[in-house]
Amino acid sequence: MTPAEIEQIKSALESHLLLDEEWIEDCIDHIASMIENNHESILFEDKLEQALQIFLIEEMKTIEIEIVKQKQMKNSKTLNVGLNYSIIIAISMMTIGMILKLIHGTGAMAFILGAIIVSCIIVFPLLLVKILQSKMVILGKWVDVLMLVSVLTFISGTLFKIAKWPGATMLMLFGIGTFTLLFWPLSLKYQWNKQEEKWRVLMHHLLMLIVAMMIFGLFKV
Amino acid sequence: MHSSELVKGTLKTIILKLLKEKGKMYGYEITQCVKTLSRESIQLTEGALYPSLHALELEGILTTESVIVNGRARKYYQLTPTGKSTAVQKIEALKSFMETLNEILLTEKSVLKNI
Repeated sequence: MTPAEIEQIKSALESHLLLDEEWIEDCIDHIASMIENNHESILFEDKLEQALQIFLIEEMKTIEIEIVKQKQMKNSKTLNVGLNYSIIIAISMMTIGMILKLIHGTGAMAFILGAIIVSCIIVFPLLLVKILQSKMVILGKWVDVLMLVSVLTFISGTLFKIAKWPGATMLMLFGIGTFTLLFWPLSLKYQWNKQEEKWRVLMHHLLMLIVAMMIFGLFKV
Repeated sequence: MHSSELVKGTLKTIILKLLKEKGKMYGYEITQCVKTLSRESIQLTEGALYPSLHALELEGILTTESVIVNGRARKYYQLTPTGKSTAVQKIEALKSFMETLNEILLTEKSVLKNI
């Protein structure tokens, strides 16, 4: 088969709005194989037309959507596993750090710093990807993204505080201020309307409040 | 020609069986092989075949290898080491299911009356 003929098959597929490169490659090879095995003495264009009719080209977009969905589900599963493990690691390190701090043990700050670093470089970016990939309505999505940014500002403030850099308190206050006064109520309202089990929303937000208060207490803001 | 509903439930096992015996195959080759082996009573549609192949690949049962053939990329599907054991299990499970199904379908009226 000549490159021009392969290009012709590709154009026919793209005219049916197929976009996934991998799927287009599968289709090209399949249709080309069909044409190569068609031994009738007719023109290439007619063979292509016949192949497209058997191949049910109209259905190919539906199949493409299904294949892409399968890939996204797989990616989403991997993302969730990574996110869950990193959250567990960050929370464990933070808890150990806090316990050590309370009993004046050594290495408290190392654990807390570790938890913050894990949160900043793994948990928050993964959360951001998860939020952006979600099927939430735009308002819910952007409220969540901005909320994440304000938490990140707060966490950066705690890092500044540990390193004794200037501006730590300002960052922490800005982060927690925008979070509690703006994004938290918005998020609570959004989730309250969306979630059927109201107690779950309340528990979730109460837990966040307790963690925030503990961090505030810990850093004596 | 067997109904697509009947083929749907066994399609993955058919693919695994073919790949287990032939090593590696490409999409069109699978459809033609099934057509020939079933004496044209099973016709795999592309709409059923490719989503199954992609799902098996995502499950880690199949792996792919792209080879340039006649100026285009041809994707060969083959079993992974995990896929080989999955294939054996699925084929055995289907055989056992078919035996059970056969027993049910061949049950005589007199036997049914005594149950």
